[in-house]
Amino acid sequence: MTATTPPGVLDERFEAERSVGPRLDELWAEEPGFVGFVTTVNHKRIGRRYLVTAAFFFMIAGLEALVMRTQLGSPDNRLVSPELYDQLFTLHGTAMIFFVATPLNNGFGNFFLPLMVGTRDMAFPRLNALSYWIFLFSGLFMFSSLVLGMAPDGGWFAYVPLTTDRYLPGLNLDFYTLGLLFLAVSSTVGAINLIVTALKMRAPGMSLNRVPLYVWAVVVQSFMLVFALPPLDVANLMLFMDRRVGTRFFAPSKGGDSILWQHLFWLFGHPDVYIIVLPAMGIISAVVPTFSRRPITAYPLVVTATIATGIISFGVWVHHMFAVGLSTVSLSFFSAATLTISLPAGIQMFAWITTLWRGRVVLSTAMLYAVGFLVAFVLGGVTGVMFAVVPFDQQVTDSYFVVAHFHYVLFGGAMLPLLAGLFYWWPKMTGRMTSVRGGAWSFALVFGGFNLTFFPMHISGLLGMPRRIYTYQPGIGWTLWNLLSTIGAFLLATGLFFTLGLFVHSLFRGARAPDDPWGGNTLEWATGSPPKPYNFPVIPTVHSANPLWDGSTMASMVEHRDDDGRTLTAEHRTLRTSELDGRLEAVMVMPEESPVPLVTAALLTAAVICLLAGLYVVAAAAFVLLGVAVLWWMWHRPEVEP
Amino acid sequence: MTAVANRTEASSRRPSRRAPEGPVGRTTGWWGMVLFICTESATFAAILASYFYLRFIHDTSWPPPGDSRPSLLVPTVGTAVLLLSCAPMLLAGRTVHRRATHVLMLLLALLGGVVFVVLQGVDYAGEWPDSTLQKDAYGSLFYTITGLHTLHVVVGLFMVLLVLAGAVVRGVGRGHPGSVRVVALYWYFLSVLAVAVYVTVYISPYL
Repeated sequence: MTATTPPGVLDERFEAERSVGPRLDELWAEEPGFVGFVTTVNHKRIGRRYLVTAAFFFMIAGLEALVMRTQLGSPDNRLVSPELYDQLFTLHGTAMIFFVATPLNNGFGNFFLPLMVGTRDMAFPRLNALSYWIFLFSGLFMFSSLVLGMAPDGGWFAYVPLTTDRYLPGLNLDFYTLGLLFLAVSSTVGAINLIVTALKMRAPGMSLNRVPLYVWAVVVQSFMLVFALPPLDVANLMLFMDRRVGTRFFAPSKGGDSILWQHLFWLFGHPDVYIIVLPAMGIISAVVPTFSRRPITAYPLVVTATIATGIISFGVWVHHMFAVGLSTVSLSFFSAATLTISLPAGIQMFAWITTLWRGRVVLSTAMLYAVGFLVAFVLGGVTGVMFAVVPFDQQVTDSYFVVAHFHYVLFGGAMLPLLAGLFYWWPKMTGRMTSVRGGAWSFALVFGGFNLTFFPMHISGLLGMPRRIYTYQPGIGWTLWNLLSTIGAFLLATGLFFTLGLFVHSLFRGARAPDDPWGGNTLEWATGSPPKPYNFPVIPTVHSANPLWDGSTMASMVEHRDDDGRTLTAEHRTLRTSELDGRLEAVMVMPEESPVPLVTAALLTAAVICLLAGLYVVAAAAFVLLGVAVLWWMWHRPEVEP
Repeated sequence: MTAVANRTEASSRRPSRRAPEGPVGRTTGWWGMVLFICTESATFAAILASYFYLRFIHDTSWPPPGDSRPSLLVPTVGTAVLLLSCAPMLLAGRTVHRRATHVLMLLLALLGGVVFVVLQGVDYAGEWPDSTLQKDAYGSLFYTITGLHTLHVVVGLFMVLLVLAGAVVRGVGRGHPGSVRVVALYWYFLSVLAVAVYVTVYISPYL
């Protein structure tokens, strides 16, 4: 080393940056100001936007929950009307599933997947920008319905015939069908983008058996989205047409059928649970080894379990319909399938526990949240197995027991890992550390509030309290449990606001973060904190599944610092490698900033709003313009291959 | 410079004098299209499954009383033409270095697609008074499935147009064998889908 490395910077990165950093800085410099803001295709900025936008939607949907909990805090309460209550619980569920949990995962995926596989951007950067803008606009579209007093009010799974125009006239359900179809565009292209990035753009040497578990989880989740969203889209298309055009898909007297909706919805809906939980588990698989100071145990088994979960989850949807009155054969089959899916989850759970057991545990804030997840997910998993037993399910279906179960799975199984991920990766994203003591408080408040909110719901559910009632009478034994849940909800909200304050404080006052604050094992820690726009000055050669711990991978960044095939100092370039072995195939030229994604998303928004308003001719015109924009986009591509 | 990078540079600089070399491995564009086809297949799988679900959930005849079986002549010709247009599409991908042939093949494929869309319209005109979108679930399924597929063919036509425009304006030497093959992939998918739709909507009511 000829110059001294500045504090916090890894020696190897310093050497590499000294060699090619200035040239790359110039090449990858972004347009400043407003123009840069709306035209950027940088995966890290897009990932951050996903996180911030989804956190904002989380806050709104969380405040809805607080209103509902306040309403249920005492019997015979008249804080909100039944009509408003219907809108609140429907939008709360719809938003948390579609506009919070999935996009938060997408935000981390966007930011960290390219970093973890050692490349400079996503496979389709402009498509990435498009998927963010569509997510933002569809979210605003969906939430605007609440402001207009026309929020969806048929429950988040919107069963027909309740949701047909005969029983729920008005625009409420049209916001639902159009909003979800609109969002599906974003989720689908986002998923395809993540899969292709992970398949084709891994750094040389990163064969499939060296791919970080988080990346595996995101890829499996994305494959699930590719196959699970279509049934939901078809269902929403049919419902929209039944309501607006007068088709008869769900009208039994005209040859339609109302159970068809349930099949299509849950064919999406159950995989969606894993679409939310799998990447969250991937975060746990990233956090646990780092803070156990050892590689994960049984890596191949964890990968197999992840894939198995993805596949089996498509065969369990009927367990949401045990009380519908289907044949005994189908109940038995789906009951067995549901019991089966607990096996891969168990494999992952034991892999984490063994890693903790055989390692030296460091109780950082991220690790606290990870351990909290292990506890909460076991609880949610156990009640899940109970639902697989048909008689039990028929007894408690549509009661608060179900509400308790899925909040343990979705808050405990997804939000806690996402918070773990946020504390884990915050220094990488912002370049600032968070307070350790504050982190412990944050965990204590959130975990305590979470359990106090949702544990009593098991009991009120077993006592017979149905979900979705806007109030209840005193003297039937539900008052205490509801009061406890309400107190818990406010504690949880306090914890979440405290956590928000902690991050804001860190942003302005936090200590500077070094490149690798936790001694992590995956490639994102080989970049700067925050990473440069080009991520890696020299694309490394990956030598193991724990590239930052093997020594050789980091050394390869210094070795190749004069090799133009690895520094790629002309245009926006990165490497393309083979799917299985990560062998070098070609150099790819990446597109630069562009306003087209925003224009395309805006035209789609206009089309959706016109459909909602019934202006079909204008909507058709907007779709034509949209087509023109897409053609323009396709015409102006950097020629990637000869 | 690695060998790979050199080849990239050289062939984009003097394109017309070289026969384009096959790129090493699959491109990101190819994978993007394959995954797009996956999600599209799942969409049609869901809607075709709904067709059979609604047929067999009720104990009436199919098509239900009041509807007649669809006429076969026009859709059979349309589906056959779309299937046959895969041949020029395949040849278009193999003739990127011969401009005239390449353009001709793309035009033939385009023509096949247009004929299919027109014949679908003709079929609608024949069916309409007897069966409508609003009459019953049978009509809703018939028009939604065939309509959705035709819409996809229209999207495919624009993809072919784009490649055709590229070949005419930018010249085939600069050629995008990559893009032609990616578009061809979608075209084959549309043809296979046409068969699935044909068997479901037109043939299955006779069974």
